[in-house]
Parts: sequence; C-alpha cells; structure tokens
Amino acid sequence: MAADTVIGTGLVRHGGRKFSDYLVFNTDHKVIGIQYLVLAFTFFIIGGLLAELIRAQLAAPNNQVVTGSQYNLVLTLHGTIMIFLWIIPAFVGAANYVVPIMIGANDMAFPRLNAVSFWLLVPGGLLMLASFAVGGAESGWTAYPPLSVTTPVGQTLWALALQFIGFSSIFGAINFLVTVFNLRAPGMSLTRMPLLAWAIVATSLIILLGTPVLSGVLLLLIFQRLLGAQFFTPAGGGNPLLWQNLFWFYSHPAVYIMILPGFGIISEVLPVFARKPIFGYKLIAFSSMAIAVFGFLVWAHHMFTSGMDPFLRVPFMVTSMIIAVPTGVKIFSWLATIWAGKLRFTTSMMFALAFISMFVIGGLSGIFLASVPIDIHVQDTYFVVAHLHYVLFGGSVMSLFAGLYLWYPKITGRMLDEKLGHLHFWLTFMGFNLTFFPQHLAGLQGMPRRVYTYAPEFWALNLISSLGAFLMAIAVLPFLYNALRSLVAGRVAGPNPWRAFGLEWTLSSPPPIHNFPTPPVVEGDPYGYGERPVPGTTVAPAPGVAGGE
Amino acid sequence: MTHHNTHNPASSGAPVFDNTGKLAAIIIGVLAVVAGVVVGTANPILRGATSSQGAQIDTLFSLFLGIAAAIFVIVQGFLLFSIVRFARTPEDEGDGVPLRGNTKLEIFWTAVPALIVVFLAIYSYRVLADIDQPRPDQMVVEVTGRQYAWEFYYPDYDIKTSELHIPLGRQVLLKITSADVNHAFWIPQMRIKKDAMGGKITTANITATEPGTYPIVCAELCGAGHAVMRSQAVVEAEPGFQTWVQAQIGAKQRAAAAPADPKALGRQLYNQYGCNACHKLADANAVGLVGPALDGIGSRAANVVPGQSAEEYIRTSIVKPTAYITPNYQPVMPGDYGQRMSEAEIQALVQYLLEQK
Repeated sequence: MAADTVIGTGLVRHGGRKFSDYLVFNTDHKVIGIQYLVLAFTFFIIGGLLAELIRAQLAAPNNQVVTGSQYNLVLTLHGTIMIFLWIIPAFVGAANYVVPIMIGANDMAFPRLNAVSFWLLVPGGLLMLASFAVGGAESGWTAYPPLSVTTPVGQTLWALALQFIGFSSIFGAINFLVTVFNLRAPGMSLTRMPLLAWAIVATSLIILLGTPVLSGVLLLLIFQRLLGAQFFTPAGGGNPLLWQNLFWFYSHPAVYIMILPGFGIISEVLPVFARKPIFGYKLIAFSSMAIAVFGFLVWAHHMFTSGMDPFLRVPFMVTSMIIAVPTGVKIFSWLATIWAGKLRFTTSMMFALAFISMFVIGGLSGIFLASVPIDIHVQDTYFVVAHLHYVLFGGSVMSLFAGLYLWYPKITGRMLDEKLGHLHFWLTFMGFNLTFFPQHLAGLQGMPRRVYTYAPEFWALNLISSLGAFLMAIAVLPFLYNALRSLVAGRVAGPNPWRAFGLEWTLSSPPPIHNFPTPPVVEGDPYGYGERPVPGTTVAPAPGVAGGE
Repeated sequence: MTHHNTHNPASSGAPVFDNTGKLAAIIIGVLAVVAGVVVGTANPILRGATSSQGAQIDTLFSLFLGIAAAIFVIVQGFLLFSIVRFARTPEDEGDGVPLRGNTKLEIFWTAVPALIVVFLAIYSYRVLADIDQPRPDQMVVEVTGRQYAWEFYYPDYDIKTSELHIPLGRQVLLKITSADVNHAFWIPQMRIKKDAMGGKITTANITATEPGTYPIVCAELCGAGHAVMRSQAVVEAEPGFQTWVQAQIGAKQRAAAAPADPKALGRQLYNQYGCNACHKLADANAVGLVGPALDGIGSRAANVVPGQSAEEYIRTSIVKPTAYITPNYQPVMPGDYGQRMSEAEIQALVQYLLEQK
C-alpha cells in the first residue's frame, strides 16, 4: 500500500495497480504509455546533460573540458539519444496513452505486441548507454562511413542499439495503423477522427516504409565492421555515398516521424484553449498525408555538397521546397483557429503558441537549406544546427510539453501547478532562443558544426549559446518538481478539467482499466466548441460578452 | 461555412473579421512588405563574399531573407495580435465563434506559398546553373583531404603545398578527393563547399574576386581533429601568384639539387608536408596554432620523454605522434607521415628541427 501513496490516488485504476506494475511487462496501453513517457523523459535528461557538456566545451575557444575524441562521442550520443530515445518514443508514449481512448477503443489492437515494442527499447537504451561507456561511437548520429567503419567498438554497440529501437518502432507503427483503422467506436468516421489520430496514421506509414531501410543499412554497417564486408569503402569496391542515400532515405522522413505527432498534438490543444473548432480540418488531415508522401522524395537535399550527380540536385531542390506548402497550410490553419477565439493561456496553450512561433523559424530556415546554391555555403554549419533545433526543439519538444500539460490531469487524475508550469515555459522559451538563434549567424559567418573548438571571432555568439543552454537546463527543474509533486499534492482533476471535447474527457481521470465500460457513441468530431455543449459538463456556454466587440 | 450554433448565442452577433481585425491585417501586411524589402535589401548577415559565385549566392540569400522576413512578420504578427486581442476576459466562460473553415482562404494560403516556392526554386536553379559553368582559362588544383590536413597539388607546375594559392579573377577547377574518411572542403568567405571522398573526385569551380587570405575549413566530421583541420587560401593578382609559383618551384629545385643545404631542404619539407599549418616556427614563417610551437625545439627535445634522445623524440613525434602528447594539446596529428615521407625526408626534417635552438 505504501507504493500506492508514492504514485498517488489515480494511477491505481490503470492496469498498473501498484508502483511495481510499471516496472514489468504489462499490456494495458495506458501503463505502456506511461512506461514510454518515463523512459523517454529519463533519456531527455541524459541527452540534455550531454548537450550541457557540449555547451561547456564551446563556452570559449580552445576550452579543455573534453578532448576532440570525447567531444565527438558526446555529440554523437546527444543526437542519437534525443532523436531515438526521447522525441520518437515520447510521442509514441503519448499516442499510446491517448489515441486508443480518443478513437473509442479499449486498448491497442495488439496489446502484447505493444508491450514488446516498449520492452525492445530497454535493451536498445542499455546498449546505447554501453556504447557511451565503452566509447567509440564518434561519427555523429549520421555515422557516415568510412569514419564509422574505423571508429572503435562502441560504434558497433551503437548500431545494435538502433536495431532494437528500430524494431520497436516498426512494431509500434503496425499496431497504431491496425488500431486506428479497425478499433474506432461506432460513429467515428475517418473525418470525425481527432487530428492526432490522422497524424499518427501518417507517422506510422512513414515508419513502416522508412525504418526497415535504416535497419537494413545498419546491418550493412555491422557486417562491414564485424565481418570485413566492403559496402562503403572504395578500396574494396564499396561506395560511401551508398550509406548516405540509404541513411537519408530513412532519416529525412524521420524528421516527419518526429514532427507530425507534434502537429497532431497542436491541433488538439489549440481548439480546447481557444474555445473554437479547428480551422480547416480536412486540409490539415490531408496535409499530414501529403507530408508523409513527399517526405520520401526529398532525402538527397542532405547531400547537395556530396559527390551526387549535380543535375539530380535540381529535382530534390524542388521537392524540398514544395514540402513547405503543406506545412504552411497547417500554420495558417492554426492561426485561423485562434483568431476570434477566447484564448486561455494555460501552460499547455503557451507551449502550443510557442510551437507555432518557433516552428515557423525552423520552417523558414529549411527553405534556405533546400536551395542548392545557398546550401553549398550553409551545409554542415551551425546554420543547420540552428535549423534542426528550431524544428526538433522549437517544434517537437514544445509540442510534447503542450501535450503533457494537456493530458497530465487525464493520466494522473491530478492537476499540474500552473505557476510552476509558466515558469517552466518562460525559462525554456528564453533559454531556447538564446541558445539557438545565435547559431544561425555563427554558421553563416563560417563556423562548421561538430567542432570542439572554433576561431576566436565566434566567441561571443557561442558564449550566448552556452548561457542559453544553461537556462534550458534550469528550466527542467520546475517541471520535474511539478510533475512529481502534483502526483500526490495536485488538485484533483475530475474527468474533464478543461471542459474539452474528445472521448478521453468523457472518462474518469485516470480512465478505468478497459477504458469504456459501455461502447461510446460518437456524434461529431471533437472540435464542436461554440456549436454544441461539451458532453458531461453542466456549464453551458455562457451568453454575454461577444468577443469584446 | 459557419455551422449552426444554436447552443451558443454568445457568438452569433460577433463579426469574425471586424474593423479592428481588418486594420490589424492591413498593418501586419504593410509591416511584412516593409520588413521584406528592408531586410532583403540590407541583408546584414550574409554579405561581402570574395568570389564571383559567392556574390551570386549572397544575392540569392538576400532574396530568400526578404521573403522569409515578410512571412515571419505575417505569422508572428497575427499570432501576437490574436494573443492580445482574443485573450478571454476573466468572467467569460463562453466559446469563440465556431468557424470550421473557409474554402477561398484555404485555397489562397495553399496556392500563394506554392507559387513563392516555385519562384524560389526556379531562381535558385538559374544561380546554380550559372555558378557551375566552367570557363575556358581554368587552372586545375588537386585537393586531397586527410586526417587532419589539406594538401594541394598544381599539375601545371608540379608543386605540392599545404596552403592554397590562387590568382585573382582566374577560374580555378578544384578536383577534390580524400586519402581516408569523408571531409568537406569549405572556404566560407568564397561560399564554396564540396565533400572530399575516398575513391571519388568531386569538382568545384571557383573564381576569386578579392585579394586576401581566407580560412579553409573542414565541414564534414572526420575524427578527433576535425575542428583543427584548417588551412588557408591566399588570393593575389596574377603577377604575385606567378612569383609565388616560381618561388615554390625554386625551393623544390634547390632542395633537390643542393642537398648540401639541409636547412633549405628542411624548411621546404616543413611547409610542403603541412607542418606549418599547425606548428608555429619562426624560421619557416609558420604561424599555426593547433599544435605546440617548435621554436627552440632542438634545445628542449632531449628533456621531454625520459630515456629518449632529442633525435629519437623528434623522430617519434613525426612518425608516431600519439606516443607522447604535449600537455594541453589534443592527439590530432596525422599518423601517416611515416608512410608518406621517404626515410631521407624524415631524416632531413629531424635534422632541421634539431637545429632549431
């Protein structure tokens, strides 16, 4: 019973009845969702500490915090962990918890496969940490051969870790697709589905088509490292460009694996706190699918300065620019969603609004990178580092926090403290911009990425970056404190603290073990604000002040 | 496309796009145009390229920057306006206006960005086609990247150097390759970058437009010494360039013809194999800062590693640089000098360094 007090009142209604149930194989999608989220957040802390090490080394030129080879190990593990053990699994965790409930299902289609997907991450994560302990994964998260062939043994552990994580991802994608297409409640047509479910469909299709390519090319790398195969080294008839083509065929779509669920979350958060239906539902859903398709046609823009065929760069430039269009559609639809709303600036809403603001910057710098002549100059510089962090932190991580603040009451039964939430938000927002905005300028002026030291002229920009990174680290503390303390001391949430549409808000917080005691009947999409009363609430939309006219 | 909203009388009377909203839209639109024109014209962040292709890339960048600034102002403007204007009043528990969409608006914001990116793609293509164009009077320089140094070979003159010298105004065709892992040859001020890969020759055309000395940087992670894999490009007018070429040829011939002058030979080897890029040495006019300075190394060498004579220490440091790492320096020196240099060359270089007292 002591364990129950540790995890608060709410969680016992899950398939997890006591704390230890969360440490073992469990098939309740809600337990698995929490397992994913906690594991991913742990790796967020680890990856974040590695980032702080990077910024400590770069706080001044010729710093001696780490050696060149240690620095390469740290940057490789930072990138790999943040992508494969934080952003991707954190989205899977959030989706695992909420998507089945949102579509009126009692669990995922394959509950045991779902648990297997999670538990594959554990050996994956341990191998990743082992590769760090052993040392040797020093060729960046992109692991270009021949460098990644010559690095010490840790590189092999790194590749094996990614195999486990890759299979976890593939099994998860199959599960999500079958769940969304087969287990929707009566009345939930495809066009009544929450947009997060659409985003998860698009993401899962990308994973299903892309991740096996990553698994394959990693296998080639492992063969080359362990068995003397010569796939990537010219001396043995191999080609280093082979890796780049196959790697980016997965890894550019992977960017959309990391951002489409974020788009989905933003489309859920904004209507709740703007008290308006999502604007342009069909176009948002369609643009997710368009991104999933176009995402596979842009990979060579990572290779514009490589030895690829010079003319082939042109079609890839065109597709890379066109993919900005469906992304722009979403941004404009979200702006229209909050227009003439009645905005409530909860922490969740703050992160969602910051997402729009920051993601646009990452999107715009992406158009620069798509242009071959400009890319010739900025490829492999800090401009790219700035761009990818505006997309993956300003986009993905902001949306993850928007989602966590929205669904935390559903998951735990308790409210987070909003004051601490706002503190977390503002520290993160300021730290993030201080860290990454100056990096655009450093890159344009001639600072390459992945360097442990730099010319003295870049000192000021790097110092600002390092101070910002320090602020970002501090920002995590109020969140961590808030999330742990609210488990026991947070205000009791009740089923629907935000007065939101969506099936998840019709259930108790947390929901009972098999979600819906009686099958739900779906009468519309979850965005009917201003059109119909929110089910289960006694508060009818109040007449009176009309938008402040 | 406003749906029935019988449950929400609050919203029924509220125009979605009232005069304040219209005024804001106009102001944001004007600000966007102004920002686009001003930022695009001024382009404070990428200017002053010192090559002909660099100037074109900077101009293209200005265009992108202007358009990006305009879009930035539009998005952030509407976002900030909405945050201020549509914040709910504390007592208002009602909902906003239930707008589901607007087909015309959605077509507009799909089509206009599509037109913009197609325009940007066409414009980028025209710049690309132009900067890739070879000119008839090209001079060829073969560039080899290796962990962690650049080497330049001039087939016209049969000379090999560790820094790039090119004549002002003449197009240079760089034929780039790697002796080991991938590197990327980058001269930031000239906006030129190309990967160096083993077993493959990549090419880039470059025409310098400003005399000067510019850093050459490796842009592709290539190992522990990636950050210090640097050299420099010296651009001078044709007569100055020819003088330099003759000096290189002369130095090489003197070294070959007169082994009696071991000092000249040592100095030439010091610069030819790129020792100068990293190790400061007054006698060779070397100013590199990556590795320890070698002024006076001849007096110190006997006292560095116990049991090693001065000659043994210097020789070991050249052929097996990781054997002893000077405190506060990184183990980044290429380890293949034992293979790349002949025994006679190593001997000459060791003697030359021993004499640096």
